[in-house]
Amino acid sequence: MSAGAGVSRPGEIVTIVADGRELRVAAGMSVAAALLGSGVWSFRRSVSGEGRAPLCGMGVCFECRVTIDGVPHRRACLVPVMDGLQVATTSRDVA
Amino acid sequence: MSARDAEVLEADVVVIGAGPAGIAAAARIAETGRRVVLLDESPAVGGQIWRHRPGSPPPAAARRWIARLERSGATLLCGVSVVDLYQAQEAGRFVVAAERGPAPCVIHASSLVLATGARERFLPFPGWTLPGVIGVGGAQALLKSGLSFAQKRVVIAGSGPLLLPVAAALAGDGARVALVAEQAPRDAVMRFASSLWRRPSALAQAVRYRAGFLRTPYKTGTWVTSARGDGRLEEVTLTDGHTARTIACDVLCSAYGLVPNTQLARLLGCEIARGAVVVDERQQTSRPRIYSVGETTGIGGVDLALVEGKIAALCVIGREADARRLYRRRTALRTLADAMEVAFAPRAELRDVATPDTIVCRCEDVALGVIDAGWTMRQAKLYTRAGMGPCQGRVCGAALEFLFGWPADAVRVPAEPALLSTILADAGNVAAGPLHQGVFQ
Amino acid sequence: MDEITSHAVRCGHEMLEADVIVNAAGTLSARLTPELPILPRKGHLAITDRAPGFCRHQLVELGYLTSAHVMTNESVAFNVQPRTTGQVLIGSSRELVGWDASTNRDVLRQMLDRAVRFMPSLSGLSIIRTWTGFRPATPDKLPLIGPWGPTAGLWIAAGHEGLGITTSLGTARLLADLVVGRQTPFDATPFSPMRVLTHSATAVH
Repeated sequence: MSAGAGVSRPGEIVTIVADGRELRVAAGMSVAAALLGSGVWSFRRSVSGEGRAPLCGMGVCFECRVTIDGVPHRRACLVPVMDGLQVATTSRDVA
Repeated sequence: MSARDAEVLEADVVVIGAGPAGIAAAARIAETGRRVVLLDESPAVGGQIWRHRPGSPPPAAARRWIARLERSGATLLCGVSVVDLYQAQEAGRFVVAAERGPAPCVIHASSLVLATGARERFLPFPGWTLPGVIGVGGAQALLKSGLSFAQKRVVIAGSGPLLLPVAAALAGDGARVALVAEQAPRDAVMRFASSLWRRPSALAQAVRYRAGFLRTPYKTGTWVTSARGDGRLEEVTLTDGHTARTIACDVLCSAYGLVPNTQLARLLGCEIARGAVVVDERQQTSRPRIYSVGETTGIGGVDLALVEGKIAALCVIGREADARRLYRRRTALRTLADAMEVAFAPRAELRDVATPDTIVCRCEDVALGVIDAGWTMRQAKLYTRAGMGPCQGRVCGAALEFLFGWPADAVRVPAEPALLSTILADAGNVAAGPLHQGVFQ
Repeated sequence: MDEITSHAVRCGHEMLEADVIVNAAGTLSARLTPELPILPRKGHLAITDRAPGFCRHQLVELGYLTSAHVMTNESVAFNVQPRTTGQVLIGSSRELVGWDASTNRDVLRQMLDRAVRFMPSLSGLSIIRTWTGFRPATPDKLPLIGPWGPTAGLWIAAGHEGLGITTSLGTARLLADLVVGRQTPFDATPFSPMRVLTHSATAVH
């Protein structure tokens, strides 16, 4: 089994859908990097309604939680983009 | 999907964490033919320091070790979060209950190697929860996972040797790094820098980083007092204790050193001291057949992590004599690491930066003002909900430990948030006791 | 709090005097009044990450009553409560294992397994925390509310098992009526702590 199994070949472009918007991003990126890179600067609302975005970048802080392919509370910084992946942020809603 | 459909793997050794220490240990053990399973939560191996941008090659040392790992015969499982870890009664084997994507995954092993690395120490200041405030290692992680910082105005303010390489990496990506601010006083940093002369490779490295962005000021004895913006970061204010200055920016990279990830060791009941897992000269913890290596046993960098990984591997496979030949190198590297911890220790003024309104627990939005310094971590949880969120106190716990000296609270299953179906999946190890189950079956 | 004596409570070197002293110390009540047959009945709980709208009502299986009021060694019963935060609290389990607060994985799994049988969609929720607690349990399943004869001025309000918070206001009103000498809204005799001294109501094991 090779290191980093599941990561697409570099140079490939994949399409993900974030809050209904199609984004063409480089394969191998994390969903967090893809969202931030496309101008989504707030991923979720805190308990008191503040917009939040990734802090630690490595799966520790849980600030980057978004719904991926229907499963809520996935850490976007740990999930690599895949073609057809669906992301929903909750930055418009109170969590 | 049935809760009991867990993939079950049998192994001789499970290594948790595929950074340099875990990779070294796993490769070395697997080369003997033993069944080794190496787990990591990230989509790829390398941990933090050996991460590489998609499309870019990994650092040279990483390439060699990763190639060695791939040849070794170890089973690599990436994207796996460890949820529970315990010793089953039967034959004393270890059970690792994990989650891989949404699916449960269980591994049995006779020995464990905990190489769970470290996380950053975030200290709260007004505005630190604004989008645009990220960690220092966090910036590196986001950069390496594909985020571009080109044309972004960046301030880097925190502590430790990581500030310079990250500044260089961001500048190399096209960021406009306005300032690198190190909170440690100038003489502490200079003393540490002068100790690098004994290690020419480290010195050359430091010089190269600095040369990479000569235009960017590097100020010691300077720290952040607040960040501001309308919904997202717009400017940051720093002080040197006398003068304040405000810099407009898009990104603030701020963290104050690293803290070992001891959660799994604590779940297993291993002895912890000064925030790190205690190990003997064989890298064995206080519990038999549980080893720990790398940052988990104390912050020390990649070279120390590799040596510790090798020593543990040699001891696991019964080659203690070979392991002993590495002790001297480990001691030398450990000495350097200790000097680093002293030089970059967060200063006392950092305790006074947060105001009563400043959020300390980001998961539950608990402000500093409602927390009593005289409490324990447990009391803070019960009275204010601080530490009760999904990060399980990983962020606020390190901050509260610095602010009030509180040791961490006990760890219970799940070691990380997990689907209920994952927690149920390890049913094979459940005693089939006939519990009274109510009147209606 | 070290000791309760006639119309007084001793805390270290300090003596606090009062006409009325109420021992409402929950699972620790027997430390102050040793004759009280209150046992720590351990329970596990799990709580999820926020899942707004997942369920709107508390859901309890009828078997919960049997679990709560039968003093077998171990039992689990389905009990789910939505919290105002949108998190879902999942229970319940009961064991008599002294004061061992550690997580019993077998019991935890049996509890969660039973919960999923009643409500399959729970299995897709993210559990962020589990913990244990001790309920103050009495052998005859009834709380102890009323005067404690052997110590002048001492009253007991303890032993409510898993319903301490739910019945706290009612207990307070009942106890206040008894202390003041008012007519109680219902017969308080079954809750009399003095029954402990007349029955051989010792711990069940």
